[in-house]
Amino acid sequence: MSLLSITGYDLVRSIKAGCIRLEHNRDEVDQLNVFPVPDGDTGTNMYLTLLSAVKEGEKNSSDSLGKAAKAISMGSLMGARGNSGVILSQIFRGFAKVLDGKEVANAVDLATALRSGADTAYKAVMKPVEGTILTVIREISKTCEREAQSQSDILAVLLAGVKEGYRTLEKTPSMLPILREAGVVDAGGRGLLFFLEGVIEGLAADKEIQLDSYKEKTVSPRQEIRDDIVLDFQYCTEMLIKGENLHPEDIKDHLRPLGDSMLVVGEEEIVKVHIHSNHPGKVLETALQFGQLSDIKINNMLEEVHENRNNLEQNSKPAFSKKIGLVAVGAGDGIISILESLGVDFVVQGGQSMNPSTEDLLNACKDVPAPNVIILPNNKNIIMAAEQVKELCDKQVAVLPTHSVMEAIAALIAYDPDGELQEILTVMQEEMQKITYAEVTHAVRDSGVSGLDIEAGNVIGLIDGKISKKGNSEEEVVLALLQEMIHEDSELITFLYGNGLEEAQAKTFQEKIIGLYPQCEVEMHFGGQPHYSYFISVE
Amino acid sequence: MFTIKSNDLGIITVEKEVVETIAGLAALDCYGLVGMVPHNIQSGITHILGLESVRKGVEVKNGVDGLIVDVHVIIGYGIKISEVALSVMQKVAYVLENGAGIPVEKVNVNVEGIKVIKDI
Repeated sequence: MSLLSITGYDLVRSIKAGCIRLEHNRDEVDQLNVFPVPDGDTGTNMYLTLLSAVKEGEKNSSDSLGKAAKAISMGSLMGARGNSGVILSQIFRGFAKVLDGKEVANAVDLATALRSGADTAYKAVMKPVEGTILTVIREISKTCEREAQSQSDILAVLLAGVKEGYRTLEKTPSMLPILREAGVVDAGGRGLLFFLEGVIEGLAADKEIQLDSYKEKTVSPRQEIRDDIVLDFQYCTEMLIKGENLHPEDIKDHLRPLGDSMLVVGEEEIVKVHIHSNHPGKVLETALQFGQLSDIKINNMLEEVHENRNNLEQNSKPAFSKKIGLVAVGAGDGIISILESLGVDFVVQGGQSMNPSTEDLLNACKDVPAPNVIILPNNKNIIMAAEQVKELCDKQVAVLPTHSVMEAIAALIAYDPDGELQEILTVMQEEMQKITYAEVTHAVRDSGVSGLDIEAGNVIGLIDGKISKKGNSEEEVVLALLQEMIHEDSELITFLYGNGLEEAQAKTFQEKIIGLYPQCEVEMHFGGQPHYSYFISVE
Repeated sequence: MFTIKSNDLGIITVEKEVVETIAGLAALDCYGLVGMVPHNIQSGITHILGLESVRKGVEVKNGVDGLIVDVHVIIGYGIKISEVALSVMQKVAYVLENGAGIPVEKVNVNVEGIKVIKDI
C-alpha cells in the first residue's frame, strides 16, 4: 500500500506526531548540543517551536493543505525558540510557500516544498555553517526531490530522505570541528530527524500502513565503537589545596597550560582541583606553590576506557539459552510458522528455484542462541550449501540432510534443545526415514521421465523426489500418489497445501481422503509454499 | 584598551578594536542576522557593513563585572526578532568569554532595521 497524497488534516496530524516523537527524545538532543553555544536546550527549543506550530495548525486543520501549512508556518514563527527553532520556522516558511493554494499534495509537491524550506532556511544566514541542521535538511530535501521523480509513494520518498539525513548527520562531525572535538553529531540535525521520523510514523499510522514493509530501507546506521581511542590527556588528576588567601582564578591560570577539562572551585582556605593532564607530577608541583595538598587522586583514563570496553564486549557476547539450535530452510507463511512452532530458531527463506546462499545460512547460524546448530536444508540442492557452513561457522554445526520440509517436520519431533548433538542427530535421522513424502506440482516444460510423457502444464507427483505420477488435476495425482505410498501399517497422512489453493478447497479434499482411507488420520495444514500445490507425507 | 589579565607575571591587554571585531564576527554567525550597521549614524542612510568593518557596528565599554557590548544589527524579515536577538546575545557573550577569555556583563542588541530576504 502506498500513500499518494496528503491533505491539510494529514499534514497537521503528522507534524503533531513528529512533535511528540521529538518530545520523547529531546533529552538526547539536548545533550548533543554544543553548537553554536553549548547551552543544552536544542531539543527543548525545537520541541517548543513545533508545539506552537501544531497548536496553530490544529486551528486550521480542516482547511486546505495550503492554509494548514501556512498556519503551521505562522505558528512556528511566533513560537520559535532558540537558534534551531528559528531555523525550523524558516524551513516551514519555505515549505508553506510552495504549498500555498493547494488542496492536497503529492510526493513531488512535498519534495519541492521541502527543498524550498531548505533554501529559505539557508537564505536567512550570512555565513551558512556546514555540518548543522541546515546541511541535514538540504541533503534530505535533495534526496526527496530525486526520489519523488521515480516514485509516487510519499512514505517511500520521505523514508529515503530520512535515510540520507542519517548519513549526513553521521558526517556532521567531519564538517564542524567543534562537533568532532565533543564527539557528537549535530543536535539540531538529530532533532530534525527525530521529528521527520515521527512525521512518517504518524502518516503511516493514520493511513493504517505497516511501516514494516519499508523496514529494510530505514535501517539506521549502527554506531560502531572506534578501535583507536585517542585521549589528548591521559591522567585524571584530582586534589584539594589547603592554604591561605587562595584564588581559584589564579590557580586556574597556572594549571590551564597543563591539560583540559579543568575544574577549580573553592574558597580562600580550600580549593578543589580537577584536571586531565599528561603530566600529573607537574600539576602537583604547580599546586604545591599555593599550599598543602590532600586527597590526591590520579587515574589513568586510558585503562578505564579499555576496561569499560572489555566489559562491554563481554556483555555483548551472546548468552546461549540452550545447547542445540535449529536453522531450517523454507518458503511460505504457513510452513515458516509450522517450523517455528516446532522449535526452529531461524527459518531462512528459500527452497525450490530460490536456494539460499551459504552466507544466508551462516548468518542464521550465528544468530541462533546456542553453541550447536543443526541445519535442515529441506531441499537436495541446498544440502551442499549447508555442508559448507560447517567449515565456516565457529559453532558446532551439523546438517540433517532433509530433502523436503515434510521430512523436517517428521524429524523435529525428536528434537531436544538440551540433548547431545550426535544423539539428537541420529534420532532425528530415524524419525525422518519413517516417512514417505510426496510433492505435487505443475510441469513447466515437456519432458519424458520415468517412462512418463509429460507435457508442460501437466500436474505431476513426485515421491521421495522422483517424478512418478502425472495427471490433469491435482486431485487425480494425489490419489494416485497415495495409492502407492500407503501401506497396511500407515497411520498418518499429512498435507501442506499452498500455491494459491484455497482453504475451503483443501478441506473438501481432506474429507474425501478421510473417506478413502478410514484407517488413517488425515491432517491438512496451510503451508503457503510457492510452486507446489501439496506437500504430502505418510507415516 | 582593556586589561583582561594581570598577575605577577605581567599584564594582558586587548585593544578595543579587537574586542569589537570578535563580537561583530560572532554576531554575524547568528542565524537570522542579515548584517551589522554602523552605530554612529543615528539618522540618515544606514548601510550594511562589510566583513572587514563589522566592528563599526559594535560598541564596547567597561562595566562592573565585565564588558558591556552593544551590537547594531539588521534582521531578516519573517524571523522572530526576539529569538534572533537572544541568540546574538548568547553567541557574543559565549565567544568573548570562552574564546577570548574576556568577561562580559551585558550584550545589548539594537535592531536597526529589517530586510526582506529575496524570494526563491
